[in-house]
Parts: sequence; structure tokens; C-alpha cells
Amino acid sequence: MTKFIGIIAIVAFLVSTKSLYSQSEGGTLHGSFQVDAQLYQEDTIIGATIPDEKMGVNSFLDLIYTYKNFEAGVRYEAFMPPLQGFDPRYKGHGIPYRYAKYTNKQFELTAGNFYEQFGSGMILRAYQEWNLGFDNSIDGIRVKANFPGIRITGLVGKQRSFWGKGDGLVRGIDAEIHLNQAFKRFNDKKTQVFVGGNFVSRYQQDLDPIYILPANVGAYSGRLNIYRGNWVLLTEAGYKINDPNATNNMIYKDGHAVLLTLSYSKKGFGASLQAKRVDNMDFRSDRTATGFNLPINYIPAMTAQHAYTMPAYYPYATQANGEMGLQATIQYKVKKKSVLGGKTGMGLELNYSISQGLQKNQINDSTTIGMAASDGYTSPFFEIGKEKYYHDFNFKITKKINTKWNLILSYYNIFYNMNVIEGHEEPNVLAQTGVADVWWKFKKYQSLHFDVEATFAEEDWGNWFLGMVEYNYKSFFAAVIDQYNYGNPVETMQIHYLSVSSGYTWNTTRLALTYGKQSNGILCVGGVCREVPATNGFSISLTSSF
Amino acid sequence: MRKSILFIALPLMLLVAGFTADENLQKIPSIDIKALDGSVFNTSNIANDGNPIIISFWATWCKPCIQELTTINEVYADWQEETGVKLVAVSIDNTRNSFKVKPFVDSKEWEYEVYLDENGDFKRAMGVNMVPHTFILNGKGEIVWQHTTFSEGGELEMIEIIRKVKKGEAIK
Repeated sequence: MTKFIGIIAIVAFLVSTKSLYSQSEGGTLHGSFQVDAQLYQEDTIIGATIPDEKMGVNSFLDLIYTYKNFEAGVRYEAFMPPLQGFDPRYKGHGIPYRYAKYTNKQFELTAGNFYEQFGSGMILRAYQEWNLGFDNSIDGIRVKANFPGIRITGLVGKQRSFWGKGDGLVRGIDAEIHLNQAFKRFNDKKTQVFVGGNFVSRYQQDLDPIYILPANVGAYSGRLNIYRGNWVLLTEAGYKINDPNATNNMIYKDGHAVLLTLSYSKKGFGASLQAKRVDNMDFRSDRTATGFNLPINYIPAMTAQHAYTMPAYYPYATQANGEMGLQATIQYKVKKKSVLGGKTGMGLELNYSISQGLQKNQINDSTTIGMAASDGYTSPFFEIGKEKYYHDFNFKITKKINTKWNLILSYYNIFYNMNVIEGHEEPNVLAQTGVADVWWKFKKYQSLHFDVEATFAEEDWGNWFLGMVEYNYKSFFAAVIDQYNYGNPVETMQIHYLSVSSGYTWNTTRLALTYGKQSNGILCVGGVCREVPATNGFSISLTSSF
Repeated sequence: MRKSILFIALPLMLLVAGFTADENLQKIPSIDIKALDGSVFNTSNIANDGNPIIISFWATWCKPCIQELTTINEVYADWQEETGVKLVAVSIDNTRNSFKVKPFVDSKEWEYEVYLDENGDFKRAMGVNMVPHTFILNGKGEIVWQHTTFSEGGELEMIEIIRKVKKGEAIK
């Protein structure tokens, strides 16, 4: 009933805004919506099933109203039922997100739902990824204060969990000082220095019949970011008190995290180096939550995010409860009119990343590593564990041949630890993929796009071949994709996943239709991955902003 | 009952939104994002001395976005000379990739004003569902045109719009 009144109130409010427009400084209303629907067909070979409803629909409508310093917004969501691969607990519809915000020069006050990130997100990050079915927005109060060179954010609330809220209460404060702005003596210095820190605490009552658990779990981090000319150094280190939870097998160990990034770049050249170490840092607003549900913090995967289908087939998921990693990236633009560069220059990109487990030692002879209700294990800071979780070596060459032809060639060598990333005992995968991406602009507004990908992997599903042809005319496109699993060790699974799609964009409204088979895959967000099942059928996607 | 109300309410909301969106040109909301030198930048300060502005939302992992920005970069100097236009490129990369944005932009030799929207605050406030999403603003900072996706030749349509904006013509 309250929801009901809420909706009427919102509509009444929105209708009333119409009259505000006649005033010289009226408010504005804008927003966006998206509808993704799929009509399922059964395909026993690929394992595509039909839900009872025969179709799935995910949709939302976002509305934001602003008037001077005031802003209010709502998002209506409907999952009727959710598309396959999304958590079935999303089934339903309603308004899970609504807020009001007031801003002036010094302060910003938000009541209702909000998203937030402290520093790199190591201790707190609330965000949304609609297409992945992820939303951990906080429902509560947030205050931001701005002084010259100093910013402070305080918040309290509960996080969204599907159509309800997490059990635990999240409280947090973050402060950042920009030294050059805050102190006169640093005003003219070339080097820009930012110092920040935050403290976040979760309160969840301990009702456990066996364990005595900390009801208040505190976590904090400090950061130092330095920018000087071509150089950027970003550092953050965090700590969490012992927090026995469902993801760490109820151990009473504290958590640590360190993230270091150094980059150098100038015209035509860019390089970055990153290192991280995380230990027992899975932090949620409900200690029984797992998977995509109720994370408070965000530990990024330290690997490249691939845009092509086959290289993205084996994505990495951060292991917030323990890993050490390194990543290096170099980008270089070969100059025009040089031997390699030719008329238009050439782009080169090289990326390498590796993640290993931590070295874990027993705390004593009678306690196995990670044993429930114990202190878990000890882990020397600099010692790298023996188990490899992931590696990815890749390079890319981008070459514009002339005004008509554009070529991108890339190679990927990926090691994927099945047990660590997906949690099932199967052989690890070493997958090598080559991609040739060719654009042919044959008329002023018309182009053809060819994408050929080949993956060689002996383990898991074996070799793949992918071919795609896409035709573009202004805002219209039509494409055919064939993803062929010719190397599958099971002969009946050596099949073509063939699909056709087409779409059109009118300014900000885009309609796309797809018919055919989609292979299973993995979608990752915030360190957790979710398996997307193979499907067969007809899907439609409509998205618009206004 | 609840369901039926929702189904009445939603089209109503859309209708209202549709009408009002036409009447009042939307300005850029006030959101704090990050500049590549680490400083905080408020989006209400996006300005270009009364000349047109392009705001392009992109990400390092988005192929059509890079295609769009690379294509425009080749003609950017000409566009600037002709119309005084400025392109503001807002990266929606989160902390997994945001540190790569500056090296990426420098290596591509892009001449744009680039900002980081690490947690998607500006993206949400602008109603951006997917990238690339490009806005054109008139000299008063009002949004007169927006478009999602990019395909070959898309830049030709954009410069036409920018020329009209420069002349003070209405865009419809």
C-alpha cells in the first residue's frame, strides 16, 4: 500500500513539474529506460531450456528531476521473470531506487538510495551494473562537505539485496586532502599530492548458536596519490578486523590489502605498472552472503578487460580472500612517415598480468590451513604462493591502411585456474586466441566489418572458431555471427552457435533484434563471476535516453 | 491492483517526461568527477566561451568508442578552427581500468579534455545507459543533440549539427 501511495505521489509530483516549466527557471526532467526480452526455444544439445514463462524480461525506467539545487530520482525495475543467467531472486517489480538530494556550494545531502566510492573502492564501493544484474546501492543518508582542498563524506544505511535489504548496517566516513589546495605553501608546487583515508563499519547482530562473532566489523584504508608531469603514482593500503563469514570458512583472521599503481606517459607513449596483494578482504553487509550479494568493498581484477568475444571467454575474477598480482601495460604509437608507421602511423599495445595465490602457513600443527573457527593461517607478506590463478599475455597492432581499410590484429595467451575461478575440480585451461578485425569503409556512410577469432585450448571445451560479418549504413546495422566449437572433446557438442542480429538507432533510442544460439559464458563483476547459460531463441533490446 | 496502477503510472510518467523534455533544454548537472591530474572537477564548469561543446562518454574497453574518438581526432583541428568546438571525453572506466586512461589517451595523442567518472555518477545523472553516448551542447551549455552508438560516417552528421549550433540554428 505504501508503495502504491508512493507511485501516485511521484506521478503527481512529475505532473506538477510540467507547470514549473512555464516559469523562467523551471526544473528539468530527464531519464532513460531499457527493455531486454528473450523468447526462449529449447535446444537439448547446447542445454538451452525454456522457463515456465517461456520468456524473460528485464527492464527499467530511470527518472531524474532537477530544480535549482534540488534533485530527486526514481528507478522502476521489472524482471518478469529475469532473463536466464540473472539471479532468479530478482523476479518481481517495483521501485528499489529512489532518492532526494540537495546541493549547495559546501554541502550535499542525499536521503534514500545512493552510490558511493571511497578511494579505489577497497573498503567501500556501492555501484550498479545493470547488464550484469549487479546493484549494491545503499539506502540511507549521505552527507558530503567541501572545503578548499578538503572533502569529507559520511554515510549510513543498508544495502540493496534483490528486492530487500541486507541485514547489516553500514556506516562510513571518508576524507581527502588535496595538499596543494589546502595549504598555501604547496600552492605553486608542480607536484600534486592527495592524501585520503576512510573508516567503514558494519553492524550485524550475532545470533549464531555456535560462534561468538564480532557484531561490529571495522575496516579502514589510507591512500596517497601523487601526480607530477608525466608520472602518476597511486597507492592505497587497507585493513579489516577479523570477520568470520561465509566466504572465508568462518575464520577469525584479519584482512589486509595493498594496491600500487605507477604510470608514465607522454605524446605517443604510455606505460603502467600495477601490483596488488589482498588477504581475507571479502567484506559484506551480511556475513552469510556470497556471490553477487551485498559486497561493501570492491577489489578490482588486475587483468585487461577484453572487448572481443573469445578472449573474454575466460575472464578472471578477483580473489578478495587472497591473491598477489602484477600487471604491466605499454602502448606506443609508431610515428607517421616512419618505416613501420607508413602514411598514418601504427598503434602497438602490450599487456601482461599474472595472479598467484598467497603463501599460507599453518598456525600450529593441530590446525589445518583455513580451518573454521580458527585464526585460519599465517601468510608472509612478500612470499608468493605456489599456485597460479591466472595469467594473460596479449598484444595488439592497430593499423589504418588508408581511408578505406582499417586493421586490428591481436593475440592472447591466457591461463585460467578452473578450481579457483569457477570452483569446480577440472583441469586448468591454457587458451591461445588470435583475432583479426578488419573494417572496410567502401562508401561515405557504408562499411563492412569482419571479425575472425580462433581459440586453441586443449582443456575445457577445446578449440573454437568465430566469424562475424557486420554491415553498417549510418545508424543501421545487420550482423551474422558463427561461433563454432569444432574442437569440443564431446563430438555431439561440436556445433555452430549461429545468430543473426540487426538494429537501428534514432538519436538516443536503439532497437536491436537477435535470433539464434548463444553459447554459455561467464560474466564477471567486482570479483565475482556468474555463469550465463547457453540459450536459443529470439531477443529484443530497446534502450533510450531523454 | 498494484500492478494495474503501475502500468498506468509508467506510461503517464513517460508521457510527462516526453513532453517536458522538449520544452526545456537540459543543462549539465553538477557532479564531481576527476581530472587526469587527480583534481576534482565539477561538471557544471564545462564551458567553451560560448562555442559548441561535445561530451562523449567512452571506456578503454569499448571498441566503437575508441573508433569514434580516433576518427574525430583526425579532423579535430579542422573542426576547432571552423567552429571553435571543444570535445570533452568522459571515461566511465572504474578503478580496474581508470589508471590506464591517461597513458591510453597520451599514447593515442588525443587532444581532448579527458575526465574520469569512476563510479558512474555523471553517467547516471546524464541518463547514459551504454557507451558511446555523445552529447552536443550549444554555446549556453544546453544539450541540443545526443546520440548513442557510432558507425563510420557518424562524425559527418556530428559536424553538420555543430555547424548549425555555431550559427545559432535550432536543432530538430
